[in-house]
Amino acid sequence: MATKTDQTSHVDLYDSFSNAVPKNAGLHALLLFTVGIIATPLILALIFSTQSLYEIYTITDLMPGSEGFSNYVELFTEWNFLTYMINSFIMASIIVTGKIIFSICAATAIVYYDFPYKDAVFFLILMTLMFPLKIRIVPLFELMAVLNWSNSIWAITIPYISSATTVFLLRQYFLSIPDSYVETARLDGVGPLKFLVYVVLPMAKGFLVGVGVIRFIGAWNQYLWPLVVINDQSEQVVQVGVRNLQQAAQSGFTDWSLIMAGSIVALLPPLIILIIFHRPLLDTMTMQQK
Amino acid sequence: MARLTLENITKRFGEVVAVNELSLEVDDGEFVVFVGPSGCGKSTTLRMIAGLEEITDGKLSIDETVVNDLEPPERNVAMVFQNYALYPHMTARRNMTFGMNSSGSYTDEEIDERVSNAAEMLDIVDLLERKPANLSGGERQRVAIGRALVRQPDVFLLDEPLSNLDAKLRVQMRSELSELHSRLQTTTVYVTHDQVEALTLGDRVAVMNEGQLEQVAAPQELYDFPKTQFVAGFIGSPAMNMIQVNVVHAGGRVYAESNSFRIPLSRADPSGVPEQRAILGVRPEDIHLADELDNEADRIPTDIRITEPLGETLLAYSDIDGTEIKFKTEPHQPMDNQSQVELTFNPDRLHLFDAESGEAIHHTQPPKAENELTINQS
Repeated sequence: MATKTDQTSHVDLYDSFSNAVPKNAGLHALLLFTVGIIATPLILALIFSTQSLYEIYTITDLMPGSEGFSNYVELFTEWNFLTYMINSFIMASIIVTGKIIFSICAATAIVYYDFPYKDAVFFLILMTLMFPLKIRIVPLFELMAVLNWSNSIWAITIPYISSATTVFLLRQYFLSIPDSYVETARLDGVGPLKFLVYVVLPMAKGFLVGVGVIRFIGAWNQYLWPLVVINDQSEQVVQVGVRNLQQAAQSGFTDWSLIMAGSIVALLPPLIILIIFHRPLLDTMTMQQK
Repeated sequence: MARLTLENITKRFGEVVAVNELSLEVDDGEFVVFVGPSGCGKSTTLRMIAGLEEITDGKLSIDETVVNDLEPPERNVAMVFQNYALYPHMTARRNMTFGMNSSGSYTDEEIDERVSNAAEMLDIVDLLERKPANLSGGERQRVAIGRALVRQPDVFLLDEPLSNLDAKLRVQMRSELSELHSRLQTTTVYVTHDQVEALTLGDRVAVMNEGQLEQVAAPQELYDFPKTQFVAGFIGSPAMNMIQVNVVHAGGRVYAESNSFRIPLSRADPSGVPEQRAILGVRPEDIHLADELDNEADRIPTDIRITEPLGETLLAYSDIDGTEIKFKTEPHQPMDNQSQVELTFNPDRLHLFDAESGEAIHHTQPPKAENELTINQS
């Protein structure tokens, strides 16, 4: 019995090997090539971040450099990176939480309640997609000044808390929940809020996590608006902090290795979140494709 | 326990009339099945009874209370949906208790007792801690029924509850539903597009078409005395054969006449059945191969086109005056395709419908005494 199984598995292995190589070799080469292209900047950044100023200007030198972790240590000791990271994390967390809470409320109202001009309201929400931050930046700056929010965490979070995309995604998700669930609840006398808390949200848990991850990465990568509205370095976020590293020039040469180290550090939190939550994120993506 | 009264119930969606002036009384403890093709308004009617759709016009009462403006939970009805509508993240038990817990008017002991009673009745005691994903289609349907049972509703509403089940399970659940109803005696309204389900389950069956109630009657009466051509064609499988004929009077008798036959309608009175164009309805089991005992004049010659062996009978397709005719015959004497045969119609099982309105003009079957009234009305 055992021998037989072994034989079969050998044959299977041989079959799969001989099948895979000639048929898919081209495809695999292409995949490897594209993955390589996508990964190259990251790998280079990782290598450069360990090099010294001299090494990095030697273009041909693509080996890990002599500085080791010292660039990384410098970020935290001399360039205020711990504060930046904490600020970024607080900002991203507030934005994600706010976005999800507000969007849930808006999507619930749009899907489960009847009110006059419902479609017009939803259309108006979608219209805001046509006004990205760059268009609003001057009036928004003035508004922050009037509210006395400039230079504070409020300035970099509150303007982002509403999100047409998230409302739209949640609306689509809520609409995909069969009517009979809603109707069963109605027959049982379960109110809309109870239905939301006990039925819709538990069902949407994975979806919400997925949306949250996308939103977190988006929020973490905010650059232009914090750059404009925050002057105080103790309130600044990490993406602007990376740009500040350009000041670390030595005799006219920009210290690229330090900037690369800063970029890698700034990349880590979203990467970790992505790795932890990749499963619900992928589910969310596939649902969007449907 | 409750009596359900629908008076001229109408539902319009904008310009579209989904249900038109439907009147029906469902007695306490009765099992009424709404049946009809999709889009006939049967589900809309059920949803109006549940309170999920507003009633455009008419009066809906449960016992003496007009419930038009009552919210669904105030009507004390429970509904089972075609897709079960079990919340996927809750166990079967939680699914059954969620509504009761939320209403807050039951003690925990009360809820527990009702759940265990329902679970025992439906044989799902072992499944209570499972989530819907780990239940089979039939088990999910039982849990969904259980959820309706624990509410102890006055009226039980079922919207095509068996449509998602495979054929074998459907038959089994059908008889279980029947048993459940005879045990609980709760007033039940059941919607289906499947006429077999309708006939087997219903104390009375309401046939709907294009928003109109065509006929409400006990299953056998519906089958034997269809009020309209639509009911005749919808109830029964294979469907009733419909042949264009002329009604003629000769010698004080009424005949149904076409190019290839002339059949006397022995019980028809010339004053009640005037000469006109009409549709003659004959069910497949009421057409027989002619034998030597049959009158020469009653035999209708035709060709067999194809035959379908169904096991207990042989279904044969032929052609009379350009109309396809299906009939059932003895399966152990197979017929060749294209063979010439002579057919006779069972003279006591013919139906005559008005060619324009589709209303029944005459049934040759003598009505049972208690049916007399219904027939005269038609």
